[in-house]
Amino acid sequence: MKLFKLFLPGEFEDAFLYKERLLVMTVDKELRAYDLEGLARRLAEKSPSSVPAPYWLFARNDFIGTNQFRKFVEADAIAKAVAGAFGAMPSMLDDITHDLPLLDQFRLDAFDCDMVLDLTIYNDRMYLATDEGLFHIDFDFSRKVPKILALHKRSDIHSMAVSAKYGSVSVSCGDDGLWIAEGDFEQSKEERPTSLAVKAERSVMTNWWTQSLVNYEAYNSPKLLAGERRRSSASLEGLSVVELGKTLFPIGALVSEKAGIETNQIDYIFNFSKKFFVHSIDGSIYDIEVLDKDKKRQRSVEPSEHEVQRVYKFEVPAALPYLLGAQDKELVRPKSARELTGDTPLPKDAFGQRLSLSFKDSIVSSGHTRVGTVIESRQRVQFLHDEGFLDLLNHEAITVRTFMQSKFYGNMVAVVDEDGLWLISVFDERVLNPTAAIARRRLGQGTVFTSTSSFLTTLKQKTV
Amino acid sequence: MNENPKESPLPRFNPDMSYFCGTSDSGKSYTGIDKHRNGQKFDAAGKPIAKWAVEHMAEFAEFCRSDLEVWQGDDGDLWGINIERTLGVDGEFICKFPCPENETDHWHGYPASPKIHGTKDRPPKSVLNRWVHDGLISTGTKKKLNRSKL
Repeated sequence: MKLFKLFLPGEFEDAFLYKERLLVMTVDKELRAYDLEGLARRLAEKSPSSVPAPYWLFARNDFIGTNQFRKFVEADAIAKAVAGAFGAMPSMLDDITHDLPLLDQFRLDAFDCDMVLDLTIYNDRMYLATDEGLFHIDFDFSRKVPKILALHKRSDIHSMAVSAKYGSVSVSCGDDGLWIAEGDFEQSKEERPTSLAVKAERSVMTNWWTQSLVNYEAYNSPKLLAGERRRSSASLEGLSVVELGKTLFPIGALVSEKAGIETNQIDYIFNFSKKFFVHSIDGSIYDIEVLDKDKKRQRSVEPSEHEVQRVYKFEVPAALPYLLGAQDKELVRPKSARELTGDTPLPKDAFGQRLSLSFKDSIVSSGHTRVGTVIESRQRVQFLHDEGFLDLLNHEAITVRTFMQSKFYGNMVAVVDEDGLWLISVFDERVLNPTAAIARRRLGQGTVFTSTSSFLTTLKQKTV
Repeated sequence: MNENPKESPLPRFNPDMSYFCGTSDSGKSYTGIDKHRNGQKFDAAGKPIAKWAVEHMAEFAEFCRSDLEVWQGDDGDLWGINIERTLGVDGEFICKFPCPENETDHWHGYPASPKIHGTKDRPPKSVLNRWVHDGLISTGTKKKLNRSKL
């Protein structure tokens, strides 16, 4: 797994990638729109031998994760050329101020708040959860330079998180409840926006679970609000607007029961659609998938019709951290594996043992990319993939964002810290060497090697 | 209230050690509450009861510092922070001293965490901004407290 990091110095609160623009909110409540394609062009000009890597990494991040790309690089000559381009691309640029074209900046003087706590953009509307309530800004993105059409204040309640899908917006306000505007686009953008209505007594964050909404009453306590489609004049995502019920189903209890984790042992849980990322107090990490019992039913709304289909506990063969330690410094070795290094000989059964990947810090947030999960704790940000952890940031972040819902930026991460913005693109380089990729995937996902030589032979194949 | 803060009595335990009390420099009387040290872990509603992880004198010192620094919200509640040691058994590093309803009542306090105990444990904007300004917390920590993540 290869990380490409770009740094934009400045005093920022948040950042979002949307329709080929990077939108950044400064601490002075100025919203800046940057041109991502322009950035890729500038990087390409500076390093011509890296073309087309800058475009694939930062302008349109989707192609390198597709099956077409896998097919494309199956031919050795093409794989070598692509590897050469990625190799010529600097893995870190510590100031892109002069490489990142600024399209426009907007003074949000009517935006009366101390701090933006969360933001999302949906259907060209930016929702901002702030300590002074929820705001939204309507944009016109049809031109290269976006234009602000309107700014509305939607509520006065301290809003800590916001999510939007299926024509609805949900706002988490802690003990002041979960507030939702269903059919938020049924009025034209010139009309007064839909009112928010309270749906649950407590909420710290939400996310969608197909057409239902998972409300997190606490960071370890998800409950499901079942949603049903209804006819609407403003149809989005090919569906009518979803109307949410009132009954809260404790989906967290279902997940923990099936995975064999006590509910009170969960430190943090979050979902992307029907996939739950679970971190237990003892540090174990699970990936748990919930599916319909009847797979033919695509959109069942009753929680009882669902069951846990897959529980994946992140673990690696005990020998992997030992043998990769010298070659792959980015792999964070679990403590017990670290003890195997140095003068201590590798235990005979190291190829049969498996070690749980352990993350001892309490998790603050998580986000999915198409090739791994981003985990934020209080003092660092890490990237978890099927072979271990990679460091994204070794100190505290202000905001960490992934863009799994977006078409273009599924493998990008935006991290704001005290000094500026890190724009990180993740590339699974194993795709350029399918033989090694298969071997490494086997190492990470269950094949037990019976001898050191077979393990090392496989391991050598991974080196391009 | 003591008319002469300089003559505040030293903090002390009562004879049977059942409670602790002291008076801050500004004359506010403080009493430690046993439920924030001993007894049940959860209240009747099943919510965790905050427990101090530091000794009585340290608890009182947090109150005195909070009073001295006037880390106070508009509602009169005082707030404390310690970046060098954990204050509560669940890892809390801030604490709250709710303003007594009657002026003659003693103050008390407990370790606070909006993540564990909810929105009532979130320090007000004015206090958070003071802490950021004084270098006690980062902007990232302020945001996490505002989002009930700590």
